[in-house]
Amino acid sequence: MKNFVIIEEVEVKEFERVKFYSIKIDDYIMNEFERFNMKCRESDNEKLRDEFYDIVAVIEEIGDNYAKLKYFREENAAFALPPSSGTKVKGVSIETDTKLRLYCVLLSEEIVILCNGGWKTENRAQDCPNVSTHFRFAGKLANYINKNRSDLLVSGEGILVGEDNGFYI
Amino acid sequence: MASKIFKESRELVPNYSRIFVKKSFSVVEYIHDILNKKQMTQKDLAGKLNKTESEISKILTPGHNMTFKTVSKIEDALNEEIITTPKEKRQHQNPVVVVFNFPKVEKRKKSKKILEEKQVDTLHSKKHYEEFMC
Repeated sequence: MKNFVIIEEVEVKEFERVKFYSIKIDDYIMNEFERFNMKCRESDNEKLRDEFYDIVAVIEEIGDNYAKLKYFREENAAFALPPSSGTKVKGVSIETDTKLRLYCVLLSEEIVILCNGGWKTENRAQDCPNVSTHFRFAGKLANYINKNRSDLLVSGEGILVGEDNGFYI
Repeated sequence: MASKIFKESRELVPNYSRIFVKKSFSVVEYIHDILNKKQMTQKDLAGKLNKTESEISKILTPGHNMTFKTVSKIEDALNEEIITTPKEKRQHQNPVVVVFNFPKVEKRKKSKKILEEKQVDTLHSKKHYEEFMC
C-alpha cells in the first residue's frame, strides 16, 4: 500500500547553513520528526533521552556547519544520526556506543529531511522491531526524492512543501 | 512554519550536550586538518598508533567520546597539541605579555611628562596673556 507524503518545514531560518524539513504521512497530525521528538521525550529510558538530546545538539551543530556526509552514518539510500562510531567486523557493523537512531534524507549540504527512528536493539536495522519500519521508509523516501529531485527542489529556496506538492510512495 | 515541538526539544537539551557535541566535532575536525597539513592519511595514523584503520575511523567520528589517553596518543603520534587548557594557553602567551607590557609603562610615564610640560606651557601662556592685557 502506498502512503501519501507531505513535506513540512522543521526549521529553515534558525540555522546559518542548513534547512531542515520532515514528512507528514497520511492522516498523522504530527510530522515524522515531531513524532520522534515526542517518543524520545516521553520515554522512561533515561539513556535514550540522553542520546536524544545529543542528537538534537548534533542537528544544531550541523545546522550551523553544513550537512557534510561525515556527520551522518550511511543507511542504504538514506542516512542516520548520530554519526557512526561503530566498527565493522567482516562487513557487519558492530555498534559500540549509541543505540538511538534518527533516519534522514540528505538532498544537499544545505537541505536535510529528518524522518523518524528509535532505539536500535539489533545489529541490522531491518531486524530491529523498533527501527525497521523507519529505516525502510527513509530508504524509500530517499529513492523517490533522488529520482524526482528536479521537481521537488527550488533553486536557492529549498524544497517544495505543503499538500499541493504531496506525493505517493 | 517552524516546528514548535522541535523548539521545545531544543529548550530541553542540557548545555553540556551542546558543549560535548561542539568540542568533539571541533577536535575531530582539527585532527583532520593536521593530517591534511602533514599530508597523512587515517591509515598512516593507524600505523603510528598500532591500530587498525577501522579503529581510527571510529575514533575520528564526530560525537565519539574520546578519552584523554587517546588524545594524548594522537598528539604524540602527530607531534602536535590538540587540546590546550586556557591556563596552558596563558603560560604560552606570558613572555609575549611581558614584552608588550613594558613599553606601555614607558609610554604612560612619557605621556605624564608631556602633560606636565603642557601645563607649564599653559600657565606661561596665561601669565603672558594677563600681563599683555594689563
